[in-house]
Amino acid sequence: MSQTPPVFTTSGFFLRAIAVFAGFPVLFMLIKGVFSGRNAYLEIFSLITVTAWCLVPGQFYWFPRNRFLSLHLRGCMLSKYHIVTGTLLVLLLCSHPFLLVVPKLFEYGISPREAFFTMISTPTAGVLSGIISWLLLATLGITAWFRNVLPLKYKAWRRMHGILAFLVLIFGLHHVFVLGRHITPFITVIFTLFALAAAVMMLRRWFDLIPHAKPVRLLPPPAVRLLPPPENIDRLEKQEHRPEKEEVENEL
Amino acid sequence: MSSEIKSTRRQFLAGAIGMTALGGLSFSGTAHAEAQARENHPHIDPDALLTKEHVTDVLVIGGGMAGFFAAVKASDQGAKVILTAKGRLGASGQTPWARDIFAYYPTPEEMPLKDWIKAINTASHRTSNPKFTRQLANHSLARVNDLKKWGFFDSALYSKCFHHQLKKRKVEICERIMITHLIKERGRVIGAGGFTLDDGTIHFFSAKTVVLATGAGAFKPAGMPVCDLTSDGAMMAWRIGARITGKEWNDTTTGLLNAPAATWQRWRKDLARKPQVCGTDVEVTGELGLNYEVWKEGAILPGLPDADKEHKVKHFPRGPAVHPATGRDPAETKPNQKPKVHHAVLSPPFFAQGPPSGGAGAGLAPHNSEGLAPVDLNGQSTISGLYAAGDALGSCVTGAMELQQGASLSAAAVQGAIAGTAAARVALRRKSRFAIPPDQKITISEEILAPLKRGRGFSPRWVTQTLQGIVIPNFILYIKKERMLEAALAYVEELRDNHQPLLIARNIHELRLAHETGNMILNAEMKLRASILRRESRCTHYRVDYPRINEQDWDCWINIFQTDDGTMGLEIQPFNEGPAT
Amino acid sequence: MAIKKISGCIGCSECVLSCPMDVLRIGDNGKAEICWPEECQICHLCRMYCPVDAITIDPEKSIPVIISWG
Repeated sequence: MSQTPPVFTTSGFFLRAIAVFAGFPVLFMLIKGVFSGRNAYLEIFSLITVTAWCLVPGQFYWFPRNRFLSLHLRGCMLSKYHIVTGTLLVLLLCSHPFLLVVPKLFEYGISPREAFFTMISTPTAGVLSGIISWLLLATLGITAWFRNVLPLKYKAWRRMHGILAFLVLIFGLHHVFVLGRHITPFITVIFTLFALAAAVMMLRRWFDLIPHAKPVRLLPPPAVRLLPPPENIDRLEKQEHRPEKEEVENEL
Repeated sequence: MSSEIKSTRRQFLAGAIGMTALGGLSFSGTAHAEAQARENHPHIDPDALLTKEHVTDVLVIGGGMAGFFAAVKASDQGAKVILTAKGRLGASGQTPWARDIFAYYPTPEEMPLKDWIKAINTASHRTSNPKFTRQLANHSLARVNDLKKWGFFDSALYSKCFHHQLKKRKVEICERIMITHLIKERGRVIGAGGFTLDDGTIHFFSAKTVVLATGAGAFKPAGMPVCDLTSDGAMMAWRIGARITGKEWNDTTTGLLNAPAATWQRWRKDLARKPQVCGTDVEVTGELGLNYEVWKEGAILPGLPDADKEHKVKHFPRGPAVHPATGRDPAETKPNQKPKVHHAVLSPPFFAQGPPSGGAGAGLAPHNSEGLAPVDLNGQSTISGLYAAGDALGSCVTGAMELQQGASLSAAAVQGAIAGTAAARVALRRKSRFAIPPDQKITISEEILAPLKRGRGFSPRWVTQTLQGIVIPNFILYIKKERMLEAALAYVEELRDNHQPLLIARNIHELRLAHETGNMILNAEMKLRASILRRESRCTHYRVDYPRINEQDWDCWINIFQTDDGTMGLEIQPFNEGPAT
Repeated sequence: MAIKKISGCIGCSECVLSCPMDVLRIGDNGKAEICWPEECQICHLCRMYCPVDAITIDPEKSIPVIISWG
């Protein structure tokens, strides 16, 4: 307790994470000047979709039980970020094939409907992986929202959620690499690294490769919170597992 | 891709230098030209290309409005129909840009039919064919109603609507096939041959009758998106003996001086909207119009108002526009005119921004004024079984100028339907079918693939650019004089004799360019010869050396035909000896 | 330079079909490629037919233009 505790404010942490996951790739794209020559709607649409996609690997990082992060953020805060950004991502990414054809409304060329059907009936790998990841993402979103009504135990649901998320990442990356408008070799590398990090993080958790190491608990929690008395560490540990227990109890 | 372009440009420069040297040494003849030419290394093996054969009753060549209606109506008659198009059905030629379609409503508010036909005939200095004008008026409403039923007016892109109707009728659609040869046997057309743009497969179509709906032709203008129209239909018909009319007339569309190739920017407001129907509204926008004014004033017209202020254009403060040839205001000569007749000689049509510049069409003729000479109102040409419709038919619906908004698209629909019906009836009546003789097939295949097989020669792009440099400047086709026409003709003959036979192609795309270039050279020759022959000024044909209209000697159309020795023959056909009903 | 860029192509070949000038082809990677931009007549048909707005077009030609009055 004699060391000066590092200061983490919750919003600052969140902004920094966003800056890494979304800000960096988008900034790079903007510097490269890939946004040019199309109408304002399409540029803004592109920017939003790209940002949303960049935050997908972030979701693996913000999962509520990330032991490293939960040292600095309460599980419920992480859970809040995970849910808020996750909902936004799912909504944006699931609606992007529809938003893409909106400009067709303003020109008497092919109608948005025709454009959409031409698009989804094109049997190329990029479109197929796009459709698959759309379906997976939609399933992910629905099963997350209606977790309480699903006949699944929390642990099983969590496993399913993780698998779905990982598949979305894989198929989504294929879709992005093949069809992405703003894909450059640099962006490809960045996305691959993010995806690898996400995968590693999830696999480590699945195979319990993160030891329940007590020493890290010695680091003080963020200064904005009241320092818990040492005997409360155990209680925190218990709190963390509480939702599971509740679930189990409910099930029973 | 980029390396290929670069090499093309290099070779273009090399070719240009080669030709300069050639001129300096005053060589002539194909052999010498070949010595100067560059080597050809095709990317594909021409001997490995496949051949495919089709058999049908009616073959429709062209996928625009006329071809579409020809296929629909021929199919409705019960004939087996194949439609071929160089581009995509409903998305090639001028059809994708046509937004106004004329319909004559027989209501009291409209101009009486007789007056309208008379107004067109007078305003066009009798170059219109009143029988075709009447035919247009009588059938236009029915065709427009057909189109309304089929959802044509719902979108600015027509391909889907056209495809749907033809598929419903089980018409076989062969897109991206360039037809290069019509085949004639015992005085009648028996089919056609061409190649696909994708893989170069050679296609032969054996048909009982053929409808040419191949549109007009120009020299790949920068100012209008009609560069795929290179008079292919008229030229292949001429080669088998059809008569071609109206080659001396010129379209007077203007472009943007500051951005001549920005066709979309120029017509954006018009192109991005759905098609619409328009009624009688005779507007004198043809004549020499802006082209003459620009020539008279030298370069740019200083005070021309922006087209956005359209109302101002209608009252352009230059006083009554007087045609240089007739010395009178054509609008004044119309009998019993209603105030609906606008006089807008100087208005840049549509929605130009910035100063306009003349001659955007670069060799295009006014709608329906050039093409196959009709022998009857069905669009029957001088060859048995060969019909034409739309801009491929020299029907002169509004004469040698454009007078009625929307008439061209309407005329294409009307004539297409009539030609299709007639062609189907004749095809169904004919019991026998002449098969395409095998030796003809071999000859045609050889001719089609010749540019690929040629070891040395000239790139079609370079020959086209050279041709454009000869015929596009204003003093050749717009402000004509005999000396310049003769000079240009000499150039064109040089291209025809020593360069067209040496066109080379490295791939199928260039093969298409080579055949298009050949057609354009022939078309240029026709335009120049017809212009030299007409020693007067009338409508969109202006001769500085004969600046007046000569009603006594030149109340006639000029037809071009192939003489027995293969050269170009010209004949005149008096206006009152037009095709019989 | 006429048709400038295709990004985000899904390979539906609508543009290849609708180009009157045969400027575009489907390349080896299954996407539309600008093969002969010299021929582009800046008519915007490809862009209008493209379901995903992948095509960017410039109002200038890639080769010098020949006009009647300059």
